[in-house]
Amino acid sequence: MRGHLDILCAADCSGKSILRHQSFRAPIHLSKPHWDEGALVLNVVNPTAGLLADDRITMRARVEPGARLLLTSPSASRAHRMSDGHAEVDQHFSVAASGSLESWPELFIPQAGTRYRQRSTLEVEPGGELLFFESLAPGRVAFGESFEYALLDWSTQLRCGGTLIARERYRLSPGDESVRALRRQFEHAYYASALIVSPRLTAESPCWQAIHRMQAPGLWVGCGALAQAGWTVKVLAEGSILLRRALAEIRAAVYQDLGRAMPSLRRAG
Amino acid sequence: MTAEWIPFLLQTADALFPTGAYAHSLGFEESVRLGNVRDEAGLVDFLLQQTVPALREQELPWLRFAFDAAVAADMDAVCGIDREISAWKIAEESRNASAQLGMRRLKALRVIQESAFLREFEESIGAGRARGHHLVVCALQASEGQVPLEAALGAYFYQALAAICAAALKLIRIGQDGCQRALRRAALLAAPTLARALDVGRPEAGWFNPLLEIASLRHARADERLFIS
Repeated sequence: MRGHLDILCAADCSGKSILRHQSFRAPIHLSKPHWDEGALVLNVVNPTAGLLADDRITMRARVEPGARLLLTSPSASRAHRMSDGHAEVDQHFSVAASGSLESWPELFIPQAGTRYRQRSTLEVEPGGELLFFESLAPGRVAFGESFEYALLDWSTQLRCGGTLIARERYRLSPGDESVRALRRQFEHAYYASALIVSPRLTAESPCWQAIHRMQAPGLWVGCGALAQAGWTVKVLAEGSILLRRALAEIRAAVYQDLGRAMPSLRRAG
Repeated sequence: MTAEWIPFLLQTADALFPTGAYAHSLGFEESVRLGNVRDEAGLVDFLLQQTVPALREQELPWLRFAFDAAVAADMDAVCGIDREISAWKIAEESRNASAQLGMRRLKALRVIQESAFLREFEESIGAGRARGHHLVVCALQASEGQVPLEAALGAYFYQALAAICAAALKLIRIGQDGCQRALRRAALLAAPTLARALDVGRPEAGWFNPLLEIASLRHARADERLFIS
């Protein structure tokens, strides 16, 4: 399938965040947006069973000045076994000055034999805000399937004011030293990362120390400043529940220092 | 006739060359604290599963890109590579350590060898066009010293392994013999590592090691520590 999502979030004359433009095509579907704590909450849904060979999805989201958008998903996304070919997601998110974008997709589960490629290009103009979360399962652990995917090919680039401040590039296969090293510490390693840019946060913001202190048995957590601007948070957990709890705590700690209420990921009621 | 670059490479790769590398563990200290490395077997595992692949897929290819830019005397490209290294060194402490080592090596190089290109790079750092990452300075060093690329990659490969082993002597229960055994095990991978490093393209150069990244991120906030990084 060739799917896409193309949205432009802007503030209307009353300052409320609205979708000024939206376009999507299967397997992408959008739920009806709603407002929570001043942010427009948009659930991106893939109503199919998951990504299959040769699926290509392009996602573009732009947040204009003064607008706030929370882009999330209602459930974990999956990529299935592929006898040949691969699935690919290419996402490009940009935030204007005084705009705010939070991207919080649910856990990505690469199933046995899958080949998945993801490209993320993130651009934040000076004064803009981005909270970009990602989480990765080792597979369908409950089915006894862990690190049995064929290939994950991941690329993320974050620019702030045109300057590259974070670049991550990796290819993961079960036989790799990366996976072997991970499994030596965590048999079923769940991984998450966050890239955060906000003019409201400083190196002295209490959230960084709070996140640092989250370290616990079965949970590794680190955070620190990126080059020139922004912060990163990295998490490794021995299970999905530990990972979800940690991510929820991280999100709450960051929002506390952003000085505003945290929008709910799900519509209440 | 002995190649003139050999004594130059030996001098600049020697522990006597004042780069301050002995003060850095580059995440290894916190990896030990986190229980990831405890003994000789753990050190071998760390070198083989974490250090060598990161050198092969990320560090050495970026040294190669910087070497090519230096040989072409393209300062804009050298500075661009240096800035991109800042972006992929995600952990702040590793990034700062790399710049600190690079600057000290650059200053030491300028003591022993006058070079307009080295001076220009130092000025670029002063102007904020680059941080002066160790990989880049090692590339410039090789270019200025007429050191062949493979020899420069091999020297960096060995120094990176030796730095971890030197830190291990202070951090885990291991003796000189154990350290030398571990170093030899890892150094035996030099040929395939360099061969691959010569082949990796710039778009795909990278490596996934959240264990070491988290260790380095945590080391920056550690209550007590022996090494700067």
